[in-house]
Amino acid sequence: MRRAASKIEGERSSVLDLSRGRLVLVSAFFVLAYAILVLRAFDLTVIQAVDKEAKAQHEELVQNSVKSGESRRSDIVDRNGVILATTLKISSLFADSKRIADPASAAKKLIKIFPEMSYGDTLQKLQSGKRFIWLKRRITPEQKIEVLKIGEPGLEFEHEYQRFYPQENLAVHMVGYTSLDNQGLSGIERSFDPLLSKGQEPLRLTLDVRLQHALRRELKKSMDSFEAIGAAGVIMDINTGEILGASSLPDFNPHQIKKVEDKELFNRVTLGVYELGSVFKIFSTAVFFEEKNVPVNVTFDATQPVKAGRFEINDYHAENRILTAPEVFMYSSNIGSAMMGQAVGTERLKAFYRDLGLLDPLDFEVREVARPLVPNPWTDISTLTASYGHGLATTPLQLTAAVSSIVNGGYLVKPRLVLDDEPFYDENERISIVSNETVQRMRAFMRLVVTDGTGRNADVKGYRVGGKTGTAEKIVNGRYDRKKLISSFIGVFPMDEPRYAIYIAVDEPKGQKWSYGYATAGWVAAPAVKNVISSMASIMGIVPAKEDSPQQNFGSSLKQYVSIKKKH
Amino acid sequence: MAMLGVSIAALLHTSQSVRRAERQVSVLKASIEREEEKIRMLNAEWVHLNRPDRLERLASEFLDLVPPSLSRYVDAKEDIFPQAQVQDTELEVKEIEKVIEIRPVSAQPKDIEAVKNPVTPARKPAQTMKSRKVQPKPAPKEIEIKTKEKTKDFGALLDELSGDGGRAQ
Repeated sequence: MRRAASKIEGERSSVLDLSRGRLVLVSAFFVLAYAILVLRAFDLTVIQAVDKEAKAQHEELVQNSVKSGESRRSDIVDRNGVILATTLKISSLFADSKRIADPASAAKKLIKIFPEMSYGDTLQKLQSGKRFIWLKRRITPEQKIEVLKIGEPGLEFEHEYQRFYPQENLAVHMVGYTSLDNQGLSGIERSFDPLLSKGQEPLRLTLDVRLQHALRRELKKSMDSFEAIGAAGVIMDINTGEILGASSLPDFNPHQIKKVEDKELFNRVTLGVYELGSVFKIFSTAVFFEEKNVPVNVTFDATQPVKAGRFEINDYHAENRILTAPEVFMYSSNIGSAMMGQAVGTERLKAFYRDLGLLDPLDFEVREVARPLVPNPWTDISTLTASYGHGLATTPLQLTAAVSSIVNGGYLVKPRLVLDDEPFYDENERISIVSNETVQRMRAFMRLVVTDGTGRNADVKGYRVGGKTGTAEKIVNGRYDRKKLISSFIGVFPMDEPRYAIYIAVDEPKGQKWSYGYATAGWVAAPAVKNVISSMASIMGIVPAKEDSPQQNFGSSLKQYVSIKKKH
Repeated sequence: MAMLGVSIAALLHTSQSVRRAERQVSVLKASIEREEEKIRMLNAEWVHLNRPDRLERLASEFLDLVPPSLSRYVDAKEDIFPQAQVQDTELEVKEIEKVIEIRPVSAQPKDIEAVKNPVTPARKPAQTMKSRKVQPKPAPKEIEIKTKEKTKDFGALLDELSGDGGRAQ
């Protein structure tokens, strides 16, 4: 019995040991599990609590960031770093219509925020069942707050980059504009689209917003005062070809591209081809003196019209006498210039125009350039008319560059719109157009036009302005219309050492009472150029010359060859 | 056992601080981006408000100023103080001013060439003190001196010369 009892005791004890061991194991497991839970709870409530705010901000960052892969389009700035185009982050509103709780009330509230949206259309979008549907692209921050106040979970925002043009209309034709999807559609935005969309350094242009404004203001003024239908203007550094200002009117606001009319989109500076008239006498006179070894006072008989076939060339400012070359230029005699062209010959004149880039489309940084209208076939009559700027249509920018290439010392310049800080021309690599002697003569001739000829209204005291007027009749239904003019003036200053060329062309100015019915270049474009030059001088701090200084008297030696008297 | 506990605690602490630092970085990045965006926005607005046509309109509306006409640029050395120049052509403009200041100007204004033709008060104060050449030696018609603060002494002198010379009153 005892043995049995002890056996039982032994069995019991081993059973007890076994169960105790199990109990310890189980409780140890639970203790460990609870310890982990406690630690995790501690971690979540104490350690990570500090980061809650951080987490929220992090989420906001993720939410606010623009769709991945889209980089910010780089800025376009003027030569002084003033922003012409920049990219801002803008919100757009879309709906996840499956998550819209109450489409009707949401739609009602939405049309209060966006009055231009219609109730029916919005409601239809909100209950369309689509997971993504645009409600309104590009909303203001205030509108975004209002939408958030509706508290509808299905109204969501996407953040997008939007192009913004702080200068609005100012340089719109040169800078260009972009589509809603930030694709460049015109101007620099278009031609430099790949570079700009990479989003690197700002692209610096040669424009100067102050000069651009002065130019645009004067264009607008002469357009308004002569009830013209349009105007174009260019300010160019004649030595480098840098375009300091280029404006075409009427223009448009790049933010309201949907409302724009075609005539506003049209860039008259690079796309408009016009017969620009007597301004071309600069070229025919230059090539005449370049080719013919003649004294500066060579004479032309302007008493009879030049006849070529059934074609007859007359003078607008008729002098009806024998004119010296300076007189031909200052009184803008078509007869004299046609004779010069005749003397030079068709081949040479044509080659000269081609050298100046007047017969081919301009190679320019903005892609919207027009092909000049060149007479085809080029007959001898074409040579006569081309000598005074008819029968041949070019863009204002081409003309400005060609004139610059003569007065700057006779080497070819290319208009440039993107600023290049490096010196970009080598004296030896310059393409020479005319000799220095011709350059000096042309400078003196152009000064004479302003001191005593048709461009007197362009003179700015102390700044030695030189230039040439051009009044061209437009072709309407195949005939020249005496009433529809393009009045233009190319001004260059200071003439003794020229630096800047200013070209202004006004389309269809109408004669006014105060202008005695005249709408010619001397009345319309010359005063505008004068105003631009005076603004430029004070903006750029150019020192004027004294009245009896040698600079101011530049070109006056020519006066011995001209008779200055009132026109008869 | 204690070592194990300590190293577990240390590991936990390190991993926690790394996570915290990472979060802080992303928060800072977010706020930098936000600030940059704000700066961009404000920059754009600033440029928009400084549009030349707007400034021009505001100036003509609220300021008693007009654009400077070119005839208002004069050469201080040659046009305003020709006598001082004759006395000592090497004198700097500053020194000329000094010379003129000690001279009893208002007592004998006829000595000074510029005053023979009365100076028209210019309405537009200029941006710089630099005077520019424009007029022939005899009698500049208009004199303009700009920026009151910078040219205080000079302006005061001109006041004596011409009543209110150069100042927009």
